[in-house]
Amino acid sequence: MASGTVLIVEDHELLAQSLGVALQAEGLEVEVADLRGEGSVLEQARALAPHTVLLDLDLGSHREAGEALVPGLVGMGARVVVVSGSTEVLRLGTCLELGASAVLSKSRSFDDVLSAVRSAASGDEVMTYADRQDLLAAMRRSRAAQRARLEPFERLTPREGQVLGLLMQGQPAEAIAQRFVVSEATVRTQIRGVLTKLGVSSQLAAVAEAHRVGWVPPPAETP
Amino acid sequence: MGPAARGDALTFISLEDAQVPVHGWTDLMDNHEPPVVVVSVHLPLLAEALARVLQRGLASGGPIEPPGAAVQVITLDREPDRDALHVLRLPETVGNPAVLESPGRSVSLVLWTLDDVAGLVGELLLRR
Repeated sequence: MASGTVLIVEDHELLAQSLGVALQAEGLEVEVADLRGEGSVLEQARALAPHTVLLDLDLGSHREAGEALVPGLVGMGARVVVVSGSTEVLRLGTCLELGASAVLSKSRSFDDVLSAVRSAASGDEVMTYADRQDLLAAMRRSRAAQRARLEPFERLTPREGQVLGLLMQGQPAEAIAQRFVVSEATVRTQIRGVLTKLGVSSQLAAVAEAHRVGWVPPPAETP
Repeated sequence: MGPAARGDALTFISLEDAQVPVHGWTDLMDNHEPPVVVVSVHLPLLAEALARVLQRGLASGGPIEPPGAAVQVITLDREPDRDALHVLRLPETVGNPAVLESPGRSVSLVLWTLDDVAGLVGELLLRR
C-alpha cells in the first residue's frame, strides 16, 4: 500500500476520533482535521498532503459544505472518499462529478471504510463503475426533476418574482405596493400573473409551491 | 435540554426520567457473559469504530487492560443486554447530554471527546 496520511474531515468529533484511532490500529497514518480552529480545511490538507481524505458533507454551520472542498482536495492530489449520512443523490452525485473517488454511507461497516481507504491508497478503484454510474444517473434524474419543478417559476417576470418573494416573507399587497411605489391594483395584477403562471388559485398556494420546490426569489430591490 | 458549553466536559446533571428512544441492539461480540458497560450510539459506523477502540483499550483515556467483551457498543435499533450493569446512551449531536443508566439511577452528562467516553467507561469498569 502507498504510504502517506489519511485525513479525516468530520464535524462529529467522537466519530472522527474513533475512526481515526481504529484506522491507526490497522497500521494507517491518520490525522483528524481541526474544524473548530481558524485554519481552513484546505490549508490543513495542504500542510499534510494526505493521500486520502475521508470527507463528511455536513461540517457544521460555520464551515462550508463538504462538496465545496472536493475540487481543492482533488487538485492537491488527494483521493477523496465521501463518508456521509446524507442520502441526497444530488449532493452525493455532485461529489463524484467534482472528482471524489467514492461515496460511502455512514451506515456502512468499518471494514468497508477501511477497505475503501486501502483501495484509495493503492490507487485502485474505490467504488465500482456500476455503482458510480447508478449514482450519477440518479443525480441526473434528480436534476431533471428539479428543473421541471422550477420551470413555471422561470416564466415569472423579474417584478413578479420580487412580488412572490415578498409574499413569501408574509408581506401583504398593500405593503408591497408601498415598497415599489405603485398602486395596490398594480401589485394585485402582478399577483394574478404569478398565480396564472404557477397554475395555482391562491397566494397561499403560490407561496407553498415556492417553498416546496426550493425556489429562491430574486432580491426585492426598491425602485 | 440544549447543547452544553464547551469546557463542560463530564458535567453531571440530575435526570429524573430519561426518555431516550431505543429500538434494539447489535451485539458486536460473540460473547456469552453479560457486558459491564453497553454504549448505545446512533450510527453503525460509529458503533463499529468505537467498539474497536474501547474493547481493545486503544484510547488514551481508557482502561490500561483491554476490556474486550466487558464493553459492547450497539446501535439504537437494538436493545441493550438486560444484564448489563451500565448503559451509556450517547446523543446524536456532540454537546447534547448523554444518559448513563446505572443500577438505581440515571444521570445525564456531557461527553465531548473519545477520551471522555473512554475515561468514563474505564471508571465504570474499575467500579464493578
